[in-house]
Amino acid sequence: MADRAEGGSEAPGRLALLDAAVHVVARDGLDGVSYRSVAEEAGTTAGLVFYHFGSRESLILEAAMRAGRRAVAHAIPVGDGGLDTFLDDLSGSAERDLSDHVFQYEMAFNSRRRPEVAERMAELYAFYGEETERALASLAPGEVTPALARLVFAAIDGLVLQQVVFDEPERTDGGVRALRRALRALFAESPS
Amino acid sequence: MGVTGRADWLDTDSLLAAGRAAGGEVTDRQLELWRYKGLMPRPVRAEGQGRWLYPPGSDRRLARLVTLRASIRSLELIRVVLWLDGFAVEIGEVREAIAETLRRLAEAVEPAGGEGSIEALASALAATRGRALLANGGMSREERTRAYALLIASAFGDPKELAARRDDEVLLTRLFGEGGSAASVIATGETPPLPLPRPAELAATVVEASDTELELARRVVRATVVWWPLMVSLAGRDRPEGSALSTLARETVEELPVDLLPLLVAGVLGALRSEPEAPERPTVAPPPRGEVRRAILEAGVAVVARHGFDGLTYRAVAQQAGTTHGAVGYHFNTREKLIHEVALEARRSAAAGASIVPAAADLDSFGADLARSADEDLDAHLFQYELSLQARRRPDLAREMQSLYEDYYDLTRQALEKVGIEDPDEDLVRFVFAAIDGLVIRQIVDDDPEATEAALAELRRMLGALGAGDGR
Repeated sequence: MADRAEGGSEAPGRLALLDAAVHVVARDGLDGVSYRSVAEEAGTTAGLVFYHFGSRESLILEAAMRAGRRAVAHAIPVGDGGLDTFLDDLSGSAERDLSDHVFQYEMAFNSRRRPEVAERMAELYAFYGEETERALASLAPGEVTPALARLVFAAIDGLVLQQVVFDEPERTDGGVRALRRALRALFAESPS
Repeated sequence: MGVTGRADWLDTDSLLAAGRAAGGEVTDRQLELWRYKGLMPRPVRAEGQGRWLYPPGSDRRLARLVTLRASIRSLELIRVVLWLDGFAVEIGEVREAIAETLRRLAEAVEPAGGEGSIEALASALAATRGRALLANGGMSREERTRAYALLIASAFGDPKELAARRDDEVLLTRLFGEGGSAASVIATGETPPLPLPRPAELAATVVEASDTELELARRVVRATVVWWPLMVSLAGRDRPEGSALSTLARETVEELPVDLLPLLVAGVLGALRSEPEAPERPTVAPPPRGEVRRAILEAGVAVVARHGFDGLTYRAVAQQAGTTHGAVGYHFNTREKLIHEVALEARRSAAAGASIVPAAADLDSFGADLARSADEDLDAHLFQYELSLQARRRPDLAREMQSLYEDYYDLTRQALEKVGIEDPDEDLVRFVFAAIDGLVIRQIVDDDPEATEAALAELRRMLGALGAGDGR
């Protein structure tokens, strides 16, 4: 959905190349990204990749934005369903959007050695934080701080990372149960 | 994956037809084997149909494979030639193929005295009967040895050795025919000089080379053994009457002394790094074995944290540990082994885990060290995250990481018990550890320890609501 909005001015080939870059990073890590590897993944020529993006850096950054937007569309508690629907589906989302998740972790872990990546990732995480805060506020109006949102999103991020690495969705579901329990206990105890 | 237009992609039938046109009947089974070995690209399924489609250029690649297969038996050497040709091949597999060939070569040379004398290398190459191009020349082993010695002397540019071997040029003519472009130009010694690599360091030089260095070496070797002789031919020296450029180019490639290629690649890599390596030799006696090993492992952790997994090369580790790359190769003779041992080191490095268990039993001390640890032990954290992602691709690492995470779950369980949560269940342990992990990741990204502290305060409130710290 977020793709559509962006797609107006972009040829489909360009988006396919960005997706290919996300897959390459998910498979081979950030260092695996080259014009050639992305071209091979997309079934096109390295020249075309170069033509679209000019530099490897801008290819990576644009791919980061694309994966991020998609993650927002799929993996963030926005919309009518709210936090509950989102949490119900956390392990499913981790499985479906595996490449996007791996890509984002690669970017996150690379942010200390690439300032331009750090900036982009900090923005993305800030956005996740705000969306999480909004979703939490609908459960317990007036009691949700940015710090709580940071904590809850951190737990989500940690659970998804473990599932990405070990592929044990039932453990993600278990972690989600405990998160819910903890939130209920917290909100029940708060004087309101 | 939404790639539009596969008009120029090839189905299996037209691919196999290209193989036949190149003079070889390729069976489905053969094709599958080459695909499995990474010598042919993977096909994708055509949308809405059962057909498999191969990327454009696959027909050229298959034709090349068919001709290579006719003269080279070793799949490893074929992989190296494909790589040299510029076909997309998995670089890690090329690296391993070259290293493996060189390891065998070094083993063959080692008993003959160890030092990489031209004779020793030549005789080892001449003994690899049936794997190599020069095995086909109808020569005695002694003649093959002399032919190889001449080629090595030429390729590595040793003028004295070369002068002593002038008489053997006739052997190359017998092998490649008059005007045989690649080999004869190499044998005139007009190629740039390279240091003759030491056999024991041959494989290590390749194993530790980064992808970029390997690509550079590929271009240099290709320029040396393909394009440069071709230019000489085109300049008219021995260009056959009326031969087209493409024919000449193909013949040049086909005349490569294939089994010299790994040696050439190692030689070029050695030349690429000979300058920065020189001042690195230690002037004091190296520390006892155990300490060097430890220093290397710790250096490995730091290197992965700073440069990512692909940065884990012998050279980077040697530099970080303040030792020579020979020493790293001595302790860990393959990159695989180095990676494995460095992964084990992650379990032993307590830094990242120590911050989980609180120093005191009160709830306030829960996670008290986390923000500081995320800052001060950044390398240890980054290292473990890099390994986690890498574990997805390596089953052996996955086992190590699984144990590492089990350790962390245990630590988290202890921490929860210490602050007064009795018998914390699996779910709670998983949630709390995930939150800790996620907070560290977030701090890596936005470098905001105060925000980490604030989030931890919320975690303590939550744990309090769940009965920790006397239910306050």
